[in-house]
Amino acid sequence: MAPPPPDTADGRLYDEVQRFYARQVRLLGDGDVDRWALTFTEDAVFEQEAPADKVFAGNAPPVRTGRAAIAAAARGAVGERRADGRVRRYLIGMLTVRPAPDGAVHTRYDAVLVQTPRGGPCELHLSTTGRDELVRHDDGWLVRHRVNSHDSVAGSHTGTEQEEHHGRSDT
Amino acid sequence: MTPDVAAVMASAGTHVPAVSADTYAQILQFYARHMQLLDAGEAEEWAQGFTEDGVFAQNVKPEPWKGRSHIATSMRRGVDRLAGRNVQRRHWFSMVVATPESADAGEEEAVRTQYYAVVFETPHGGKASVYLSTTGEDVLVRRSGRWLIKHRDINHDGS
Repeated sequence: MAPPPPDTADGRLYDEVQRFYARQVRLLGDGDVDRWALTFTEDAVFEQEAPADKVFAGNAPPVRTGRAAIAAAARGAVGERRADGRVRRYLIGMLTVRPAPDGAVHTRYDAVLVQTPRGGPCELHLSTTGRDELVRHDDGWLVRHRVNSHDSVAGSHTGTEQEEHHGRSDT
Repeated sequence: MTPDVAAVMASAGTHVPAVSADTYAQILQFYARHMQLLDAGEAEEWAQGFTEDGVFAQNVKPEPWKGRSHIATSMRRGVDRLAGRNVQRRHWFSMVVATPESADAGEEEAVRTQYYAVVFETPHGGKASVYLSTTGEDVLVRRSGRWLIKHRDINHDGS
């Protein structure tokens, strides 16, 4: 069959990236912050476009630079919800994977967060979009840059993948 | 093979022909990009994802929308209505089944898909909710390396 369009991953690459996300979201959902942090490069950047009280831990800066800062913010969030007995599941869907000439891939996806307090019921907690740059590492992938945008923020990123990547002008 | 035969074979647990992994990945990425356009309010760009004579039918509409330009103007009205409400919608396609169809002249490949489509809605400054649950069935064709929707049927659950 004809090769895929240049902005589209073939079956094998798409499969790899889907598996990467399946593993990554589970680590965060399970609160395994140490292993989750290792899915980012040492110098990774994690940006969030979110209301101030929902920037991950609530008190984390909107842009975290470096694996240690990314892990610290996540640790705060995981600790809070663990104390309250809340369980969070991150679901990723509607994924596109665009290979870059340097071997990295640019992804764009929707991500929802389903939260269940102790005793239930579960609720749809958040709807967001994500844009990542992933780089190859050994047999797998690592996040080098992530922008996560909450749908509740007016003026947060709501456009299509093609318009931007790392397109924020205010950072 | 007719869809009826495929259905019988599927219910009997026997093999049903499937598209290649590359085609499947292309279709999932086509759906993601296509629905990003709609969620961004770009009705005309979104309509370009249909063939010129494409059909978009929904069980909540009395008549299907026929032809790309009709699809574009009808969806533009919907998008403009929604813009007044200050909400962000996200269309999620999942559980996609894709089986080969016979391609017509000028088509490199034709595929019939069946899927779930759920819509999440978040008001600005508000809380996300599940707005809609539907099932969909498409006939997709690839022309000059580009996927297009020839026919789409959307069935809203509960209607």
